[in-house]
Amino acid sequence: MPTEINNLVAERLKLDKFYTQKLSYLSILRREAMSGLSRNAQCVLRILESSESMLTSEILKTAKQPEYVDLCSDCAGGDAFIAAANQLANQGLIAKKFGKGGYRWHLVEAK
Amino acid sequence: MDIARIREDFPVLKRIINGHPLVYLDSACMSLKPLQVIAAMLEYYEQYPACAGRSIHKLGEEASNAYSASRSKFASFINTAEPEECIWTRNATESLNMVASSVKLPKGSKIVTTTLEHHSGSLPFVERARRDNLKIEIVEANDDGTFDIEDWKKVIDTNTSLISVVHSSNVTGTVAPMKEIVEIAHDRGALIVSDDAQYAPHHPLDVQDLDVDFSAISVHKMCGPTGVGVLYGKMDLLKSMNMFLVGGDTVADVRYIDGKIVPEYLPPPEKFEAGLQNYAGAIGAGAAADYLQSIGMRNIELHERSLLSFMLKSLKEMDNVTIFGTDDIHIKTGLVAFMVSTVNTAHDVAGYLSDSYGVMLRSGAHCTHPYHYQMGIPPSKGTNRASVYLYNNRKDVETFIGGLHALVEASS
Repeated sequence: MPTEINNLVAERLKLDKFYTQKLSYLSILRREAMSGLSRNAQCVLRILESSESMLTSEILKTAKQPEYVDLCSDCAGGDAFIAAANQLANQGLIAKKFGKGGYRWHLVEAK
Repeated sequence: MDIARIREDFPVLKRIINGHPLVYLDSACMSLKPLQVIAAMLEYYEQYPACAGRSIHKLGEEASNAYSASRSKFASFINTAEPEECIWTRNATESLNMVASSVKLPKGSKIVTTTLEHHSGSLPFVERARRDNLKIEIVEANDDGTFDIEDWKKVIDTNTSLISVVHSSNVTGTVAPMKEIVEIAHDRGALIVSDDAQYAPHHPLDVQDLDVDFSAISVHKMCGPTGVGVLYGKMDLLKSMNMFLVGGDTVADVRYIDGKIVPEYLPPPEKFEAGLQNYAGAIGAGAAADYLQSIGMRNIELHERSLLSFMLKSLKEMDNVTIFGTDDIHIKTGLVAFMVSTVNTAHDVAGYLSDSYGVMLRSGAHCTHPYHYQMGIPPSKGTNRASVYLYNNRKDVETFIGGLHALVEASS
């Protein structure tokens, strides 16, 4: 999965292939954070990496787990967190579909 | 009120969002801006973008006159005894912090606030109590956002020095019985600060009639620009308060005597307005006050009540929807907080209505976490809030309700 994510991030953010091969997923995200990807957005990507798809409520619940403390902020109320997810959807990195229980989110498959 | 004509004043209402005409039901967070306010601010930037109260050249004179006139307009809007009782701030939050930080309170005295406060109405006072080792006591609102006046009589005692109370709740919309609370407070020697962020934009506000000691207002919720607020305070209290920020424009003179810098501070409002001010914002605030007064605050209140009544009735008829706050529209500002049981978080309701219907409403805990915890609602689940203003019409509410029906069907 990390390789797929690397390729996905690389493709969407137009990164050099060498760069994605040499650096870890988190390293890429950290680097991209400096060029505009927020910490909350990084957190959403990391959470969705662990599951095929998740409801908004599940993402918010997961974001409060200890392993995401270093990335997730503003997730008590969720406002900024969901705004970050919507930005990722607008960038084509993730997608959402409305159905039973609310929106279900998933990573967009790398081509 | 000619709503169709009023809507023409708001250029953003011509926008199409996701293929739908904009339906804006988030005015409790941020109001839309009329051309009259935009034009007043544009005129400042285009014609006299100078320092007010400092430069003596022609542009400075024009800026000073406009800045001063705006204070008078705002003072008239809330009926202060004198314009100088209006202090320009960044927002109601800063106004509340100014009171909490700077008003003189006796050692060992008690501050009173409520579970219904916006965090900006509680936290500055919680921190003041912590800073000076004062007592703090909380009045618990009823689940519908109303208060029992007996609770106030019990909590406010002769040791109470300051009370912070939200006049109109940003989550339940309920209007507090301010006159009664003020009477109890003053009877026992306490000062009272009214959080009017949600009240001032939607109801006639007369600070002298209410006899509040302080009032905090955010201009961005009343058709004015962002980054501008007002603190009203009775002049004798403002004079007695400690400084909040100091620096340029707050002083009559700063002498250098025997190796010491000795400031001589100006009276209010300058005492509290340190540094270069948001002149365009203040001028926009004056224009907003003028605009609302030209329509009439009583007319706006009645119009909102009519929409509120329709919205409440429509929501009550829906299965799967729970409404928070009183349904007595005579003690309620034009907003409704609610939850939809078929959707796991309020954010998804707001997202769906925006994506599919161009309806903008708020989701989350609205900076009122204590009330949400009191109601057993985790902040991340939150509630939705639909709020109306003078530019909304019945069709807006119908579109919102139609979208909500579709949402329930799609999420069940």
